[in-house]
Amino acid sequence: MTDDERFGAFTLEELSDYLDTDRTPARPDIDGDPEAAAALVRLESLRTASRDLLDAEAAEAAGADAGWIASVLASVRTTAHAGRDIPVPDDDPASTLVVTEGALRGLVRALGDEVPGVVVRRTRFTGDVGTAGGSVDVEVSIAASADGPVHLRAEALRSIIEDALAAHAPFVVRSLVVRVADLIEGGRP
Amino acid sequence: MTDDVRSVSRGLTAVVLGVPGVRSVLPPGPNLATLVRDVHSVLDLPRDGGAVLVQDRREGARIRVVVTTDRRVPTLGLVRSVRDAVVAEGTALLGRRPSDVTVRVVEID
Amino acid sequence: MTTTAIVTREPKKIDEEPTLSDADALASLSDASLVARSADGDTVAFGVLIRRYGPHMRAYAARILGHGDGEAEDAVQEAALQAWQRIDRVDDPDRVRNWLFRIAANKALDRLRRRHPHLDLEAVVDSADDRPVDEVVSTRLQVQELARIVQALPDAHRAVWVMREIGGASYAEIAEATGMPQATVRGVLARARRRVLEQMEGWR
Repeated sequence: MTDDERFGAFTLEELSDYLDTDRTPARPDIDGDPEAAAALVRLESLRTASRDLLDAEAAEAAGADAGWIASVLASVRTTAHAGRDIPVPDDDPASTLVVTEGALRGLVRALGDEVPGVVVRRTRFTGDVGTAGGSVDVEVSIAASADGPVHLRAEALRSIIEDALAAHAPFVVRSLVVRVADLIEGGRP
Repeated sequence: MTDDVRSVSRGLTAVVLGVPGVRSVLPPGPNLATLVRDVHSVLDLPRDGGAVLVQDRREGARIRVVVTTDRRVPTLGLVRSVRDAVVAEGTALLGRRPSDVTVRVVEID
Repeated sequence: MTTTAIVTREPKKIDEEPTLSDADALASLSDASLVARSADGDTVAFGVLIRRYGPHMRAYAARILGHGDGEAEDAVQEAALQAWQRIDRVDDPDRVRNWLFRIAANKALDRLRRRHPHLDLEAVVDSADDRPVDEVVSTRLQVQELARIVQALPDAHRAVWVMREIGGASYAEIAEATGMPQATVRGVLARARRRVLEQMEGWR
């Protein structure tokens, strides 16, 4: 097989390009050429086999992956994203008291885990986060499953978060919004 | 850390763990290097049961505490209680008041 | 990597793997939720994401590398750590699988380049690789045959072919990852496809 070899009227490269674009736009000149069309079928079968290569090996390896995955996760935990330091109001000039953004985000996630049908995704703090006792806007984005009372649940969550921030956040909550970023029908939130 | 500050670290760790609401004390690691501006002191990692970083300075000890806490205890009061406990115990163990104490809550569980 | 011994008064060992029930609870979350939570620092969610795609990432890296010695595992470990560093910058969380694959491919390519330290990857297009190949177990003979043929390709052919045919990467993505111009990528890909077709059993 040489670079110039043709399948019907077409080179391998032309057929490959056509395959790469998923046969759109349609090329009736290729589709109508018996040798070219036969070659395309062969190329497509090869592509399916190629995708299967990955699945076959992944399936075989799935049981054996525990070791390296555990070690990756151990590394990850030691470099957890703590976010910004949020200073706690305090009179002692020789002290620095801090709650990290990461701590508050984790708290909000854990609260969301206890409300059925909702999953907390991200929590954003904007405003005077760096000032002790500053005024901060809080936005929590969630995914909610559509097979339940979405607004009721979002409101319940909002109320729970409000109470928790009053007990744990070093700032004054100027606004708290729970935003439904994704509504999931019957699938995973 | 010298032997003296290591035993101070152990003492402070025990006291911090005794504050209601504290779940664990984390020793500083590479990801917390921002707490320790002096490069050399990054190597002074606490060992032997002490998780609190103690650096003896001429002007007084510099102390770093990193904790995870229980959400049933309000954090603001808790972090101040930890500071108070560290200052009291630190003063007792070192003979004088620490000059610089940092308490950082990284997880509320 | 030094282990951080966490001091706690409770019997719960925080410095061990998170409890299975935590991961179980998150195991059914969508990719988008896992990415968002990971970006906000949720290590358990990130663990679920890595367990979900880790085996495939490893298989993908192994196909690019062609032979073993545990390099695929190393490449994927590096990829997972880089993914953690950058997880807050994922443009399209629903397509995080492809994003993870791209990182895995880059780490595998770094290793391929190290095999030819004084040459560009492109310059070793035609050099033969006679190291022992890894076996791929599949119930379909065609897949096994294909695996054998692909592994026997020269490094640059194999890398480009695997990224295109298995990874579904665009020419632009392959060009960026390998450092070859796009025109070269197309040429190398065509030659790789030709070799694979020539050697697949039953080709005329």
